[in-house]
Amino acid sequence: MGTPQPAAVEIHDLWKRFGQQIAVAGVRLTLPAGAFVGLVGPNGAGKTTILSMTTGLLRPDHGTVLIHGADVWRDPAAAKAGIGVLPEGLRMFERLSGRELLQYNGRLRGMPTAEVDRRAGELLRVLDLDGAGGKLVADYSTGMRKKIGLAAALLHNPSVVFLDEPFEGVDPVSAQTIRGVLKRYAAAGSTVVFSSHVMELVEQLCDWVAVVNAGQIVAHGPLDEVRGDRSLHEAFLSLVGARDDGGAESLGWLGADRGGAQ
Amino acid sequence: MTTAATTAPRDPAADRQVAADRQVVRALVSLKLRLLRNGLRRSGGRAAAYVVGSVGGLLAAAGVAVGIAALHGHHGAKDAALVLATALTLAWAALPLFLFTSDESADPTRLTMLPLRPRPLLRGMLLAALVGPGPVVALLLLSGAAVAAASGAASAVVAVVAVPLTALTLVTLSRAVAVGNARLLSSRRGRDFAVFGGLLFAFLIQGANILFQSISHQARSGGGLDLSALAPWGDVLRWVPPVSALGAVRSAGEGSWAPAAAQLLETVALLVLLLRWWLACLVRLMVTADSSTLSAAPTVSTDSGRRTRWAARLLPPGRAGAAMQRHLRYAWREPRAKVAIFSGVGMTLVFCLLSAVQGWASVYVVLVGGLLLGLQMLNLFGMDGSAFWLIALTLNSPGDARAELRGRMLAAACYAVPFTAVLSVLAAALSGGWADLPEALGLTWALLGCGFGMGILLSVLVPYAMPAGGSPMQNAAPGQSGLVLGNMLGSMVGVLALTVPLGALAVTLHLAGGPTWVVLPAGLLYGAAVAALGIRIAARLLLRRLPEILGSVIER
Repeated sequence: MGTPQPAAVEIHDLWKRFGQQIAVAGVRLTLPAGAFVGLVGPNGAGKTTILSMTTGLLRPDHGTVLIHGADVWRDPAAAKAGIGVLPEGLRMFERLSGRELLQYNGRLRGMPTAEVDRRAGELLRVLDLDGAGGKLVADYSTGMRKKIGLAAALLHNPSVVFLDEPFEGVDPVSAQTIRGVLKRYAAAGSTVVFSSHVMELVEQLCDWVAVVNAGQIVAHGPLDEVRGDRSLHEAFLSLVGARDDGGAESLGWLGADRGGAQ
Repeated sequence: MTTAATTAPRDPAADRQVAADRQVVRALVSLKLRLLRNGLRRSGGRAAAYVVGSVGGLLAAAGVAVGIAALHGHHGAKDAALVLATALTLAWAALPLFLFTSDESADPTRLTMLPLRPRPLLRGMLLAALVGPGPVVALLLLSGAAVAAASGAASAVVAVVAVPLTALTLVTLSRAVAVGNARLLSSRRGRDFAVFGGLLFAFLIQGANILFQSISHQARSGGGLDLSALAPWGDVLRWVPPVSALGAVRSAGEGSWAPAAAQLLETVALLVLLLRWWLACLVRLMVTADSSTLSAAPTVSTDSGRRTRWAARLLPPGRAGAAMQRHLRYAWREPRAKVAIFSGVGMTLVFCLLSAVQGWASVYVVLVGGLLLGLQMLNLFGMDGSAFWLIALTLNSPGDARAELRGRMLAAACYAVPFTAVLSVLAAALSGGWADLPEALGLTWALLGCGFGMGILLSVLVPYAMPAGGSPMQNAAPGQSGLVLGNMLGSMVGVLALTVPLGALAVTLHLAGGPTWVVLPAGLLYGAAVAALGIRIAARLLLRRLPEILGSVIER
């Protein structure tokens, strides 16, 4: 990994089983501080489960997670205070307006009201949510939801932010805004960990990647080390063992002459 | 189906079309059956609940049907039959407001992507709608009503036509209402709006209940069943379709053939109109895009306004204030929270009204309010749903957990305490029991406090998921009804048991002729103490169980 950097997140031997299915099987990962980390993997690989256990939302069957040295499951208070989270598939308090949601968030984290108002105003402006600050989050589009979620995750200026699929279903304009904010945040020395299966995006944004497949880390390290001389896309497909024949031997009818079939 | 089959000329293209149409109809009916079966297969508890519910519903319907049929020959039975049919009609018209989202086969917007013609689609949906216990319940009740309304062979002949015709019209009415409101009901705002329809309907039922109670009360005290109050209703309703079909049964029995024919025709005309409207809605729905997200969402009151700043000063500082403010905002904006509160308040009011109507009004009726509103604290985190992650992520100390729970409790106390106070004064004014007012209020607030403490503890111990996006009337995700019921009944018994000491104090003071006003401060203190104890115990557990609670409240 080159120069030894202080670790932002250390994951030791993390396991999680749901019924018969082992979702996460012995994940070990050390994420360097100040890095822009991409967690990539196919659907169902366990990205969300890993992130949930890392952020204290899902209790692991086994293993430890340290965030800047604080054990998430032994000393949750210390660990949670320094992180921001944008989960996937979990809702927010959507019957609050965007601005109210940020204010509520800040108060839950014990921030002074005036400071919360100031930061909320700035975040809403930068994320182009200025006009929507008074509308209920329930009425937001997907892109707006992701943006207000990002604002909530960044409000208390955490040292590490975990984003689960922050670009999923987001239009290019909103995606560009989110990228801009994240780049600025990472440039100031904070750590960004985000999951995605859009390789081009990860390639553009991240300087460090971890590839997850079937509940395990199959590759990790600086971007250039993991992809080698290929594109990340190609490296990823070979790492997770994808076929690229498109089911050539079957589906003979697909796109064929439509005369006979109904 | 028959029109297509008989009018089709011998043309292979048309024949193919007819066959394809039949296939669509068959597919829609089997879709309904499969959705039903798969829904039941998801959990044994759900299947059991469905079977028990269906059998119970059928038995209840059969009981009512036999009851109304037994009125046959009684003076006013015919009017009662018409009123029953009217109630049934209203129920079927309101049904989509409750159940639309749960019956996917009734939602034409899910089928817009398929190349379907509206007419076979309509036939298929109508047939699919006839499958299930609902139409059987309607048939049973209508048959009972027809027996009550009939007199003589002519009536029987008309009834054989009228009952299935009315049942068909009811099913069509229900579906037409659903399709007419499909866009409305599939949007968030529409569902919020539908809650009010549902609540209104629930109160209408309670109104009918009160009417029924007062009639049977009269019957018990005055001897014999007096249904004469229904006569003016019957005179009007017999002409209103689809109830007019039962009116025709009655007219035929009285030998008035022309009115009977007219009444039957009225119902047929309604059926035809409803089908046409349904078809028109289907045609429109299949070609128009969902516009629910296009309309500009309104802005909620400006947050930095003077009003909110003034209100914020009333809130406790820190996390408790934030939790309280959010809870109160949700009480107004989230339909499920609104339903919970309004049904608690509404049930209390109905109970009071019932006591006044039946002449046993007393200041002690306010105790019901204390009991019902105390249960508002049940399953707090289930109401948050998956948004609970934010709470889980920010709860760092026992102090945080206590503040969170205290804030939520204060929010509920904010409306429950004034409501019970005003209600007790009203009840005292109505019943003249001013002397017992302090005692009743003290007991009520003790019940309230015990309910809060109990509810908060149970919220932490047995959280359960509430369905996401479904009908706001459903309060538990499928398969958890048993848990919910146990939770409700258990906490009611628990709350009553917890309040026993104070009840004993009140009874003792009564018997000894002591100052019963002591119960007011005692109740207030006792309730507050139990609530505080509940918060203290629950807070410690909450902190340890955060991921487990999150896991069990995520909507599936």
